[in-house]
Amino acid sequence: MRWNGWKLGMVLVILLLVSGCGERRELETSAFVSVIGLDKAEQDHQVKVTFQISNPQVNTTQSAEAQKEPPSDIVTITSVDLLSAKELAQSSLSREITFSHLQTIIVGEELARDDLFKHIIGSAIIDPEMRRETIMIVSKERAQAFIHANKPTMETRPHKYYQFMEDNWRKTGFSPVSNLNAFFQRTEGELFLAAYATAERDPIGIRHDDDYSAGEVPQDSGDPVQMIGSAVMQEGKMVGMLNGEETRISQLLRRKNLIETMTAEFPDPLNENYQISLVLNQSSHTEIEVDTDRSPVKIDVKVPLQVKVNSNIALEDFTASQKRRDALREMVKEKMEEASDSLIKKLQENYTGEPFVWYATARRNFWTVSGFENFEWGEKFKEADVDLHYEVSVTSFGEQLSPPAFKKFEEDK
Amino acid sequence: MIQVSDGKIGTREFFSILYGMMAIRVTDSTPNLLHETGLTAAWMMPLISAAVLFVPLMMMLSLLKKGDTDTDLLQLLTELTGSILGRLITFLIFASVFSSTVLNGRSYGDIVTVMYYPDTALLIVMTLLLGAALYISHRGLEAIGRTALLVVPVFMVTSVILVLGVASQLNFLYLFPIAGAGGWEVIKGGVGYSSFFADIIIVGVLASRVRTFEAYRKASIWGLWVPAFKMALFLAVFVMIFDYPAVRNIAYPYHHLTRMAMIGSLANHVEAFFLALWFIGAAIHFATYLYISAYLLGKLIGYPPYQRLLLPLAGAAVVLGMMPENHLQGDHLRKLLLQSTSVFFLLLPALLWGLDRFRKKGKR
Repeated sequence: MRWNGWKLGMVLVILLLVSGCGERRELETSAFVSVIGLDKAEQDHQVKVTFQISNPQVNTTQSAEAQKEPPSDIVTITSVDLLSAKELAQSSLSREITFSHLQTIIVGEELARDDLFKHIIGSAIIDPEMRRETIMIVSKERAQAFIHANKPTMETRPHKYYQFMEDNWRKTGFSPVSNLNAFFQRTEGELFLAAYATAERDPIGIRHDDDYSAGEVPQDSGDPVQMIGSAVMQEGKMVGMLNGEETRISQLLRRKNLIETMTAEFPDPLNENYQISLVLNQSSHTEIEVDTDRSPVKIDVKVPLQVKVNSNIALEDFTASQKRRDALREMVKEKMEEASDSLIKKLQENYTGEPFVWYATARRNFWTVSGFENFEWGEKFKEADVDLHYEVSVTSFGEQLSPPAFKKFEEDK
Repeated sequence: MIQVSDGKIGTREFFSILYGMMAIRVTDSTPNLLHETGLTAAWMMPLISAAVLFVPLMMMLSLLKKGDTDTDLLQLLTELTGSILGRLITFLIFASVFSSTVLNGRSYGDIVTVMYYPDTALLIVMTLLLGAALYISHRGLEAIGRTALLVVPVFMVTSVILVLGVASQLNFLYLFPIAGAGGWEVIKGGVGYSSFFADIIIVGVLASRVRTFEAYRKASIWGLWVPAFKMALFLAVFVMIFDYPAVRNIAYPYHHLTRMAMIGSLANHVEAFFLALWFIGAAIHFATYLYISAYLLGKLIGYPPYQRLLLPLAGAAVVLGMMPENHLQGDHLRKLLLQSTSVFFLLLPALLWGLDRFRKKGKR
């Protein structure tokens, strides 16, 4: 047996060493797709796929050799699906396309509103190279135009741009954190919010704080792309839109809020001429209770909210008395409840479902899966009584004990 | 102190072998079978399976205890059921162990070619996998035990890291409705699929190779419950991350989980790390299976140098494993195998225990 073991061992060692060469991929022979854009093509059942391919040599130590090369290359192919487009793109591209660093999928609104989209995205996920944590963004214009227009000044490399933007969403709440995994979780009528973006400008004038959709934020110069608000998707199809404020509120109404902080404007309770900007965050989960036994269904939502006063344009002094602080708290509570109620009303009127993952809470009341499926949550939500309560606590007044004394001087005069 | 090797293994080695045999099922198509039956309540099924198997295990342990230290399952079989029936049952055990080697070998090969190396031939992956398993098993049970002991603690730690790596993306509410397909369905499924843990009965054939009976008892009780809990935990994690019904569509949820895992914000492509560990785990899993197959076949045909059977068996496993056209066929066969052997392994110790009782009465 001894000689046998030796021989076997040698063969195995050799096999072990060479097996690594089986499917090696060299950096310089790969084309790393960092963004994919999907659009409706002119013909039926065809899709225009835009690949934005990163140039790995830019911004690295090798950049001296590739000074004249652009940071990315953009190729658009019309085909029946993503997989064949990937293959067809190879006809003009010298390097082998790989999705292993794909982070973002941009869907043109026209395609997102089409029945074709669920087929495209549903078949794309079958490809093992596709990762479920890929972020999905719906663009107002065609995705191809969006990708071409998106030339951020600070971020030369496209994947960094999207990564940093996504990090931003967690701090502003303007866009929902929307990856494909969440998209595929909600295929049975639940609403899914995808980030909404555009590189076009459509100014509508000055509005209240975060009441903007993408393209409407008053901005002069700077990067062309705006990402704010969300596209409402149901059963793999875009059915509507929410603006920045509604998107933020829908994040707050979830049990598990993915947004760390957000800053919002409220009317100043002490001085109606001014607004006050407040930093909002949540210290604990939103509590949701669903009573499915009664009809219509009753939903109780308790949203804990912490408020920090980090700016105070009216220069009113909140630290002087408890009464003033109570007024601030009441005002925040009232405004938030008002806005949330109108969002829920809008959803109930326009859609059969909700984007707050309340269906997961409703599932607790059921013993079996088939019991819940027969219940038809979407329809029941349309009629539901929703009782919203914000529990506001004011935790900080910034780094000044009281506002500077200009005002007092003014009054004395 | 350096002890002279006596070819026997202790509690820790035996436990590691059992862990390597059963806990790795989390990573193949087992969760799919369970999710299909139990829906959101699939996580209860391994616990039900383990509870159901615990009774036969206890019966077998009580029988093993009575004999001297060298008693094993095969001896009990010949003693209690006679030579012919004993051989038939031995053959059935061999058939179930070997066919499970073949079907799982194919299934693991499929995982590698589908998820990681799409351009590599299945034959190469299977040859490499079973070749590595052959190499380990060829060194004997002691070597399998030591290798397992070396890596099993690493597996346990990395499982915890993996769950922590995805923890922020989990939502426990997705586990509801709590009874999934319905209480009765879940219990039925748990019993029907109890042969996922039938290895705990099968390893009775190695009982005489464990140093003491106490070591055997301890290792097999831990070796049943730890993998069962790990399986339950991962089934729950799969539902919590992918949600029902999406989880039913995902072919190899464990491998998707390793892709979703993030350690900090920089290390977000960590699946290669888990792939390497998983492949080592698979090699140990198949080493044990090959070893038991060869051991049983040796006993069956009365061929004492059973280690020489390892090579032909490994070759046969590769060839037979290549036969199904795709993994769906293999999975279908696997389902049939599991359901048919469940009853067999649940009843076998009961049968032996009954015979033992009967014989004692007769003596009196």
